[in-house]
Amino acid sequence: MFEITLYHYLVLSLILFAIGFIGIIISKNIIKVLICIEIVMSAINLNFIAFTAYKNYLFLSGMIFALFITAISAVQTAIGLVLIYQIYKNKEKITSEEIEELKG
Amino acid sequence: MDFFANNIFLIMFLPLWICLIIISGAFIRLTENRKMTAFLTSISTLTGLVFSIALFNDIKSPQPIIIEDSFSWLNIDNLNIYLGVLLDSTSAIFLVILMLISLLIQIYSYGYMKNKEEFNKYFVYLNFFNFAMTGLILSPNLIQLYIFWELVGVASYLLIGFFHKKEDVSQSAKKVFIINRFGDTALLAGIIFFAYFSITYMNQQPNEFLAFSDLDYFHNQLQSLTYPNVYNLVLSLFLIGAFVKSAQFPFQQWLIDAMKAPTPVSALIHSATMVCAGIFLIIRIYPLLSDELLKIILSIGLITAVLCAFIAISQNNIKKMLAYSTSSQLGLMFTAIGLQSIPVAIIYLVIHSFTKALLFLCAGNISQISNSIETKDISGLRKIDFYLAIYWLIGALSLSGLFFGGFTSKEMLLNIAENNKSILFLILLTSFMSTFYIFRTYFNIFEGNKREEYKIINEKSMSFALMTMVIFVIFPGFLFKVSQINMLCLLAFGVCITAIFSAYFSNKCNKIMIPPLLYKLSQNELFIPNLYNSIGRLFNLIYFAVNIIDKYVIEGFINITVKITKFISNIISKLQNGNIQTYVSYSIFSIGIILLIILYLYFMALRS
Repeated sequence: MFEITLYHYLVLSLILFAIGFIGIIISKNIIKVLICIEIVMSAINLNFIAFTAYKNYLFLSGMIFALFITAISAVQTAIGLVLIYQIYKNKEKITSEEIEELKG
Repeated sequence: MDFFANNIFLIMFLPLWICLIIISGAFIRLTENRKMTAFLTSISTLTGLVFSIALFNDIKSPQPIIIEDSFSWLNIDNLNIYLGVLLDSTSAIFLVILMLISLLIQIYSYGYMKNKEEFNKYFVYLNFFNFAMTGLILSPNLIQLYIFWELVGVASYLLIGFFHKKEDVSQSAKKVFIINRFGDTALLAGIIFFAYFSITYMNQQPNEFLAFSDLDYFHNQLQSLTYPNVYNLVLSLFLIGAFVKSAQFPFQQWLIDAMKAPTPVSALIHSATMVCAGIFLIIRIYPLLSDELLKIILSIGLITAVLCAFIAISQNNIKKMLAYSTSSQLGLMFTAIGLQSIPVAIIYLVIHSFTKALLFLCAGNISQISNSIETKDISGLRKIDFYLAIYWLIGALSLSGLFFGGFTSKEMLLNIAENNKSILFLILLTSFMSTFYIFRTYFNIFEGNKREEYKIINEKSMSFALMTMVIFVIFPGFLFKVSQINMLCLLAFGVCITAIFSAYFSNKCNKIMIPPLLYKLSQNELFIPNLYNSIGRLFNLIYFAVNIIDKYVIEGFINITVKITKFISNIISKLQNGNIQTYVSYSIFSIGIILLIILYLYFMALRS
């Protein structure tokens, strides 16, 4: 029978991270970038939980960490959305190529 | 009297202080007042004069006080360089002359510069010169002497280039400075060599490095430890320094160019005080000099005395004539030193300083009256300004050694040269020529027909300074006693009288009766200016070559570097395009590389 080990979780998390990261880099819409950041966050969360469950389940620090990360990512998403709303109000666009004030 | 000895630093720093006051006053527009400037300057010099006379008295007293006071300036390993003050009889005499002539010339300058621009600047420079010269005279060791030696050169440069808006004046100032640099460099090289010898060869270092008071000790130690030829060569560098500063042959050219300065400055710096710095240096290092070096001094002195007097015969520019005369007289002082008679040299210097300063001040008056200093433009001045003619005559009589101070000094010089017929002959020849040129100028300028375009100068400060100077020219004749009136004395007298008559007749016939070849040589100043010009041209050639190298090799190299940098930075600046996503990918990429390196190192560690 097919058994699910730690390595499966880690590979899944790696795939999620890769998907999220590539999404961050290539997506033009800033809201998509925000969503991709969330995906990266959940990949990290998955890592924490998997390690806790397989290696160190007596101490729940990994789980608690995952909880914190979830809370913080919610806050971060809220702030990100507000920022994006402000950018939209100023520029009427939310494509990332338009935002390049930092150009050297 | 202790007060003066304790506060001797005051005479050095008072002029500098006044100089700063005038500068800052000009900045905040407080002392635009010309009277105030002149007043402050003369007060500071007067204080210096009072101090120096008091100190001179102290030193003349039966128990001479030699003031030596110095503080450590630089400490390098066991080498202590001191700055301070050394006042012995030599420096006291120099100090009195400096202060006295400075004071008179500052008073004279007030009248002379009254209607000229940049009056304050002129007095700032005069004060600065006073400071530098006092420092030079009071310096207790060779290093401080060198520092002030340079400062004096700077002051001289600034004052020569005072009318710097004229092209030729600034050129001359530069030329003077460059020729002086030559001597300064020789002096510096001499000091460095000497310091090297004293550090390397001497077992026991004296407390104060290269102090004048230790020179005897130095000499005894070093002479036994080094080769005499090498030692003499090093000391001859000092001599070159002194010769350049005192305008000896063949360096006398700078003194001629220095005549572009305002006339009072010529009187102060280029006849009475600064040019004596060379003599001062030689007197200071006299304990070191061997017989060969004294012979060199003697011969250079005699050559200068004769040749410069010879050139002065046919000069038509009064200031140029006086400049050559100064060189020639300084040559006679070097002769006296070469004959191992320091007191005679000093007395000659004192009297010559006053005489030449008087003549220069007269030349200043002449130039103001007639707007020219060429003898061909001036005649019959006696009918305009009778006193001026008398002053010039007194100066001329003193310079030629017929009466007054000049008589005494010439007598002493002849007495010490008594045993050597050829030296005696050369001195008498110089005396003949000096008398000839100075009286030739007198007959040219003051006698003859009066011209119309002259304006009468009636400036109180100028006539006061002239009158006082005359007193100081006449007075020293009674101060020093001549031993006896002997044959030599009569011979010199006869020579001078002959010279006066020949000057009178040559003026009557309107030409100088010497062979045309000699006349041409004299008129063209022995072609020494041409020599200097060709040296200048040689340097132009070098300049041309260096310019090409600079322009195409060095500058090309720098330009290529600039172009490469620009190219690279253009590429690199494209990386920073303002898009956050690009930055994120850069960071992840670099983190990945770092992780790879760490992993690689980890596996390498595992394998071994």
